[in-house]
Amino acid sequence: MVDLFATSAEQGLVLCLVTLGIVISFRIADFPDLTVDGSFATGASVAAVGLAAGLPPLLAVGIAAVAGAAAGTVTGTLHTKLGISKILAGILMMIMLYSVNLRIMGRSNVPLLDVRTALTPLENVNWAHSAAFIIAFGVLALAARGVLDWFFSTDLGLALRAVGDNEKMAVAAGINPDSAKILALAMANCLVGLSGALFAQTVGFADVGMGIGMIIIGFASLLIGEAVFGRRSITRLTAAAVVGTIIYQLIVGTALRLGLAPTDLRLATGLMVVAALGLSRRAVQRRAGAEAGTAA
Amino acid sequence: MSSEPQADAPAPVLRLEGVTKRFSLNEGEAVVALDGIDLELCRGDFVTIVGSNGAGKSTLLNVISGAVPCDDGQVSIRGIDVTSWPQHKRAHMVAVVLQDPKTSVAPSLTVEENLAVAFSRGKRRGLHLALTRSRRRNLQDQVVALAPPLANRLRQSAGSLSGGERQMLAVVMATLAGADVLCLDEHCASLDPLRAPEVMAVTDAAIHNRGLTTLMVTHNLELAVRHGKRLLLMHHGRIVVDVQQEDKDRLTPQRLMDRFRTATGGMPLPARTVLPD
Repeated sequence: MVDLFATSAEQGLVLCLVTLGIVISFRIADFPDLTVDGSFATGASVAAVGLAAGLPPLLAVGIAAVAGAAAGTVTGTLHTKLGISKILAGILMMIMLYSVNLRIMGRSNVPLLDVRTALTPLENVNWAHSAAFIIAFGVLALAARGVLDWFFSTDLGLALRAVGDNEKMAVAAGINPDSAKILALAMANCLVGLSGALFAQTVGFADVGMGIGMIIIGFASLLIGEAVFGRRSITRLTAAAVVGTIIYQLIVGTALRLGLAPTDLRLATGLMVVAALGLSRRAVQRRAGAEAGTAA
Repeated sequence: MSSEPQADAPAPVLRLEGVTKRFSLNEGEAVVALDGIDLELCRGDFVTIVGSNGAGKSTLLNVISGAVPCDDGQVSIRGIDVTSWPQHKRAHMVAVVLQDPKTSVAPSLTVEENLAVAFSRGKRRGLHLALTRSRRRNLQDQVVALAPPLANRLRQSAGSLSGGERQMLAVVMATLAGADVLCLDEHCASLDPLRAPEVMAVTDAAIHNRGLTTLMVTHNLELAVRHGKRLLLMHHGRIVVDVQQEDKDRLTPQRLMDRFRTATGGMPLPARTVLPD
């Protein structure tokens, strides 16, 4: 039981960076960005190759985050400069990154078993090492959340929010909408790449298929978190991302223990998202219906 | 056009020369929305624009704000040729208030966040907090001075405001950062008859306080006659009547109707034009 909680918290705190990225793209920039499946594996690949080549672990992780940001920049550019639709731009990047990731790794899988990683110092901690992991990842997750909360209350962050909320108004106020969208996607995929880099180190390998379904996992996590915190402000959204991801991991961990086949996990997650979206749509319709009723 | 050449005239804030805009329909056909418009406005000029549907009134404002690029001709502001500049690049020179309260503000941002976005118009947007205590106080003062109904709603989301309040907010946002030219595109048209005068009063106060050069498109002849120092009648992409200050003071909605009919060869103004009883 304790083990279940520890594993869920550990994974949740690593993967909540993906969910925070999804908050930026889906919720703040109004850009449903599907690059995530590719950029997560890009982060993992870059970090693994860097670590295997003996780079200092933090440098390897940093380069992985930059690679994620680069992927987001390309997606944003495909949409803003070439007029490719948001969804298609993300899908194109996701597909193209699959080849790029194979190129980076030179094969489909890079093991990290005997390699010194950013987590190696934590493994040498004498007391329960999963506690050390949870503290380290928890600090990182809260730091990432804090940076986002701060950023989106600055002039630049507010400009990004304005573009996502009402592009016409933002442009009339002198904000370049293209730059804002590209910046938002770069930030989002930077977090995704970072998450992929850390995830590869916790599981001990990078794999080209690692990111498949990550967008849905992150989105499901966000929906769970929003059910708790709502989405009325940036601080609520970022809290929803962190807490929602941990709850999602708890649910998944429990389901797997109860006998859910790991191969059915993505189907189950997808159905969860479908159910959540369906329910929220019906709730909106009911509310609209109730308002129409009182008005009549 | 009717303006006589004046040797000692001040340099125009806004100058349009031969501005033409065509919209292509299918099959290569094109509609001329603006047909070689020449126009000069000096600092503090307040022009109202009326005309039939499809006369090019909104397109004229869009070409000035940069929301729509023009096909031919030149737009200059303060003597700077801005014809090729996209809207966001001219936003520190031209502010707009649109007709639809849904598009004029960012609904999920708070009122003061909307104001902060507008406040940074034309400034570099960096990593400074958007709402520091001093900036909050500054914005609050401006709102109290211009649009008192919004003063105690600064922390609410702009989406919770009524249509009239949103348009008030939009007017304050447009006039906050001292743009040279203000474009009002029927910004009171979707409001109910009680709210429209309130928003118009805020607009007048803002224009007066800041000495803004203003173009206001309206279907309401009463508004067109009562506000501003100059009135333009547009038809088929051209300015067909240009009524200057002295002349405009004697104008009534009825006389305006007559002049429009004469200028267009018997075309009446469209049915949705608002005439006083």
